Amino acid sequence: MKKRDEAMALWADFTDGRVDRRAFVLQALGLGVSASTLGAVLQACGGGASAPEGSVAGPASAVEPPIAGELRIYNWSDYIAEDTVPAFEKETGVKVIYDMYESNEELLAKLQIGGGGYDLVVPTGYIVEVLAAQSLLAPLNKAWLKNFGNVAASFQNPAFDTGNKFSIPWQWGTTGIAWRTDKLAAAPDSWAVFHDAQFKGKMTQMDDSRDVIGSWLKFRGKSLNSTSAEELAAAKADAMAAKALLKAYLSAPVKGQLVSGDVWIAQLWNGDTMQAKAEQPAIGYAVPKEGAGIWLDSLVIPRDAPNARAAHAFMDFILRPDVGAALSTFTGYGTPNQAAMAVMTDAVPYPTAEELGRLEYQKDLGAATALWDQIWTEIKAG
Amino acid sequence: MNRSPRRAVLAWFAARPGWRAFGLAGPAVVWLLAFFLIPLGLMLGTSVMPRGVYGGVEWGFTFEHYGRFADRMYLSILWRTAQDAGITTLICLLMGYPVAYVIARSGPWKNFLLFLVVLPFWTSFLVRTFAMIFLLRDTGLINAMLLRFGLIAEPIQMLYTPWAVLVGLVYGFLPFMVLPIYASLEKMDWTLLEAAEVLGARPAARFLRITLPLSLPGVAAGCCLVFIPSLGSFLTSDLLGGAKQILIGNLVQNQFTSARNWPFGSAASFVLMAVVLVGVMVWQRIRDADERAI
Repeated sequence: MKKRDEAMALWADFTDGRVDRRAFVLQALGLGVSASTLGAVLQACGGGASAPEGSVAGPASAVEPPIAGELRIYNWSDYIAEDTVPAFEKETGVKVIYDMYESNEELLAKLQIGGGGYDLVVPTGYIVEVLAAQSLLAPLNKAWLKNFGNVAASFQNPAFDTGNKFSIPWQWGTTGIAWRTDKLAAAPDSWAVFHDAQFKGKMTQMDDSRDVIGSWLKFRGKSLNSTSAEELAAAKADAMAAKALLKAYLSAPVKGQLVSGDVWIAQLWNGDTMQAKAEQPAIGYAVPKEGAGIWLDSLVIPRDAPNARAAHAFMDFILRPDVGAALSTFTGYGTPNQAAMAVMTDAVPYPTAEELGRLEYQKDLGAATALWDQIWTEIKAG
Repeated sequence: MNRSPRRAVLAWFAARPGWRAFGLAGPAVVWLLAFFLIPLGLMLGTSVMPRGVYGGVEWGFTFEHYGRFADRMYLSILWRTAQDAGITTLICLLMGYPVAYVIARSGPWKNFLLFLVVLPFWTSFLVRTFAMIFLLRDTGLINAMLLRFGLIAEPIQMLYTPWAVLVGLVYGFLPFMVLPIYASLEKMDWTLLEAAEVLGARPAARFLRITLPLSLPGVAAGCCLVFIPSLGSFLTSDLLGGAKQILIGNLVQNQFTSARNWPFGSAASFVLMAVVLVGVMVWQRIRDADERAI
């Protein structure tokens, strides 16, 4: 009975143009509408010949489109295990095209102008929200995600995507302080270390307005999503005092300089710190006592993805315990996959309740983005 | 008569000079229309529309994005960018002119020396800039050598300074200064210098009154080729300056990424373009006046 209502609602959405042909077919298939019925329906609507992937060829063929063709993935750099893609290609016969980006904003701009033709991208939580708000994402078909149950309860149903309508979690991490244990006597347990003149020229913060201004908001006990002009002005003053002592604003590429010893103290993500530590054991990681950012990056399928079926297959592949474990072992980040956690030897432990109290997820700033940019430009130009 | 189609086409064009010109220039014209003018038009449109909260634009018309350039901060970013580009151009000119002069007078070595000047283009600018990081950083080659020879006790911070940005820009753009100056010196009639010498002109006078004026078109071209791309560069100041300074190129880039303010980014690009246009026009005026004076 319920399915029937859903099917009716979907049909109404489709005829009113709220759902496009592709999404309609996928969702209808998910509801168990037979392929031949769908084919007839689409035919009746005119131009039904272009039904996706020839999946509605006839009543004898499976309801599911085949897992085949090309899969275009767009992900952050250094953010996948070396054998993940080859293993997936070998198993499914899908050819993967893999491109990389350095920031959420780069990804967002590319998806907004409709570029790339990607099937899978890996935005951070607050960007998933933005993409969903702009109807740039395709809803997931849970029937194709048999391993979804492996996701730890605490990472299911996130605030930025209730009910996991569009996303499955990829990796999570924190933005704290990486430091050289051979150059400093004790772990820098406060953002105040970036105001310490004895480390002048040996410190870096990330080249990212959200991370830099966010750290100084936390330093004063404020939310890193603050939109208060007064709090942001204080953060700007703290950031500029730090800038005078900083060597540079440097994001992921700082790893090389931590390893070489050019940089002793760097604002950095925990996993990238672990990647650097693999080359230089004298590197530690600290989450400042005032608090820091925590984030969850997720796999999502862009609305116009040419091969949503293969994208689902890749998601399900990642959700396997062994694949998820290999992924996190390589990246050094936390796995949201409980089954993977169980087979890992030194997984990043889930944050304790005390730590969670200090950590904060980034949210989209909405209209306040303009104010943040003004302040970021002032910090840079000052 | 048995005329091949190829000949027929050639004959048709030969009889119609106007169409011939179009046939020759057509591909480039279409290319520029499609990939230069249309995007430029889109940008102009974007720059006068209100900004969308999530990036992109909303329908409407506004001049507010241009108005922001009345703010002292944005003016100072523009001014600093022009300063950096100006200094880069000047250093390239002072270093590039003698090089071009030597190559133009080097006889049989000419082609080999030119080859050396273009050699860096075989590798991408991005890769070469990354290579500079390994030279300039505290634990890099230059500091290591200076330490080794006991010339310094502590590494000098060279990377992530304004100087590093200048070094990177000059390194990247020097060939663009050398090549046009070489081209104009190469065409010069060197017997003019002999004549001047016979008539008693000293070396300095010979250079200032003959060589330099005759090479001015090359100098002008070289200065444009260095100054204009330096104005828009953003990679060098990010990679070698450690992103601690903001140039107009970085500002534009930020507007299209983290700030999600496409209209302001477009407006900033047009302001930059206007500055370049005014500069080039002033330059042309001066040159025209010079030529009339001669």
